[in-house]
Amino acid sequence: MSRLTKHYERYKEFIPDFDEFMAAVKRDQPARIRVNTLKTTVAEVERNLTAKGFEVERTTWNPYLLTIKGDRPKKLGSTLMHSLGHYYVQSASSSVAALALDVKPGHRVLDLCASPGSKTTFIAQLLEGKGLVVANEPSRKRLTPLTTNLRRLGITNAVTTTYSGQNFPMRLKFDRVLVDAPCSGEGTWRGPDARPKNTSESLRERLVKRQQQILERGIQTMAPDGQLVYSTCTYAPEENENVVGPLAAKYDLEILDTGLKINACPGLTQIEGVKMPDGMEKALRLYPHRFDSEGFFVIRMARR
Amino acid sequence: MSFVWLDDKESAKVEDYFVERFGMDREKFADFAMFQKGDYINILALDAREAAQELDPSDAGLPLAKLTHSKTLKPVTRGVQVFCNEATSNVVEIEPADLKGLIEGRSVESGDLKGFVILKMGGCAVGVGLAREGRLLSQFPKAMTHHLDLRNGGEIL
Ligand SMILES: C[S@@+](CC[C@H](N)C(=O)[O-])C[C@H]1O[C@@H](n2cnc3c(N)ncnc32)[C@H](O)[C@@H]1O
Repeated sequence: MSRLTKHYERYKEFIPDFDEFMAAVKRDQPARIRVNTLKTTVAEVERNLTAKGFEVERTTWNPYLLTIKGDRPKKLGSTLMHSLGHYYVQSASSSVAALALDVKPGHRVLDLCASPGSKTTFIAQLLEGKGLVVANEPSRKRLTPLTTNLRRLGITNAVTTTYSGQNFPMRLKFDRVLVDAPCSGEGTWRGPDARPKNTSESLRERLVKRQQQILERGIQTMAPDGQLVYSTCTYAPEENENVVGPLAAKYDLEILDTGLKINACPGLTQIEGVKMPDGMEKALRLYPHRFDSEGFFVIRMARR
Repeated sequence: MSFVWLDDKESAKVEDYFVERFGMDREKFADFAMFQKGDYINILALDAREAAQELDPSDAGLPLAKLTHSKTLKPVTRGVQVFCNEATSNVVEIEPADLKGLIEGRSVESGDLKGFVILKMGGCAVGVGLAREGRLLSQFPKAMTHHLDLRNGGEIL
C-alpha cells in the first residue's frame, strides 16, 4: 500500500467510491485560468489564447473560468496576457470558495488569509471596483506575491494588512469575510508524484487551534447581516466540520446553501458519533473524482 | 512605511500632470484618493480609504506615479495600465514585436516625442516608455517581464 493510500485510509468511511478517488488523486488536475474582467473580457482571452495554440474550454458554473487542455498549460504563467494581468492561474476549487461568498459590488470584504491572492483578486473582480477588499496576510515572505498579484490584476480598492488573523482589529465590520485557513493541504497533493507532506499529529493540533482562532475572529468581524465562508484545501474533518461546528453553535450561526451547481459531496453531519450542528450537509466537500480539481472544503454561514 | 495622504490641492497637482501630459480626462480620478508612500504616489478607491486609515496597512491601491530626484513625476506601469487607456497625447502605439524588442533592451523609434510616454498595444495602455533623441526606451519593471516566454518563434506568447 502506498504512503498516500495509507494516509487516506481513514477517509474510506466517508469518501464515496474510494478507489476512484485514489485514482483521481494520482492524475494531474486540469489547468485552469480565471479571466480578470477588470482588465479584459472572457471572449478576448479565449480568442487570444486560441490564436497562440492553446486549447480552451469554458466552464458552466463559473463564467470566468477557462480550462486549458493539451500539453501547453505550463506556459500559462509566461504569456504577455498573464503579465498584463488579463488572467490568473487558479484551480476550480479555489474559485468555488470565492464564489460561495456571494460578493456584490459595493460590499466590504475581508480576506483574512490572503496570499497569494487567488481568492482576493477574484473577490475584487466581483466587486467591479466598488466597495472594499482587505487582503490580510501575516507571513512577510508571502506578502510579496500577494502585492504583486493585486497590482498585476489592476485592483484599485484593495488594502493589504499583515495582522495575525486571530488578532485582526474588530473596529471595522465587513459584509463578507473569507477565512481560507492555513491547513494541512491534503487536497493539493495531486498528480503521479503525489505524496503526503507535513502529516504529524502535533502539526495538525497546532493547525486546528490556529484555524479555530482565525475563524472566531472572522466571525467577530462580520457585520450583523454579514456572511462568512470558511474554506480549506484538506479533507481532514478535524480541520473542517470540527473547527466550524463548535463555533457555529457558540455564535448561533446558520449554515447557508452556497447555491453553486457543482458536483460536490455534502459536509459530514456526524463525526465519530458526535452530531454536527444543523445544516452541515450544506457544506461542500470537493473530491477530485467528482470535481476534477484540488480537494477542498467550503462552508458558508451567517448570523441567525 | 507610512502613508501620507494627499489633500485636494496635492492630488490635483498629480492629476494636472496626467491631464496636461497625456490628455486625460480629470474625471477619471474623481472616485479616488491618493497617498505618498516612499517615492511613490499611490491611488486608492475612495470606498477603501477609510479602511486604509483605520487599519495599519502595508499597501493599498496601485502605484500611479513616482517622484523623481528632481521632484517631477514619472508614470508607473501598473497604475498606467488601469488609468491611462484613454490617454491621447504622448502616446506611442506599439506592436508585439516592438514590445519584445523593448523588453530585450532594444530601442524603438519615437519620432519627435520627448520624455515619458504611454505605450499602448491594440489601444490599451500596457506600460511606460522614455523617449529620448528619437528613440524609445522601455520602462517596464523587470518583475513584469522576466518570466515572459520570448522564444516562441520570435513572438511573445
Ligand atoms: C490556504 S493559504 C491562503 C490562500 C489564499 N487565500 C489564496 O487563495 O490565494 C493560507 C494562508 O494563511 C496564512 N496564515 C498563516 N497563519 C495565519 C494566521 N495566523 N492568520 C492569518 N493567516 C495566516 C498563510 O501564510 C497562507 O498564506
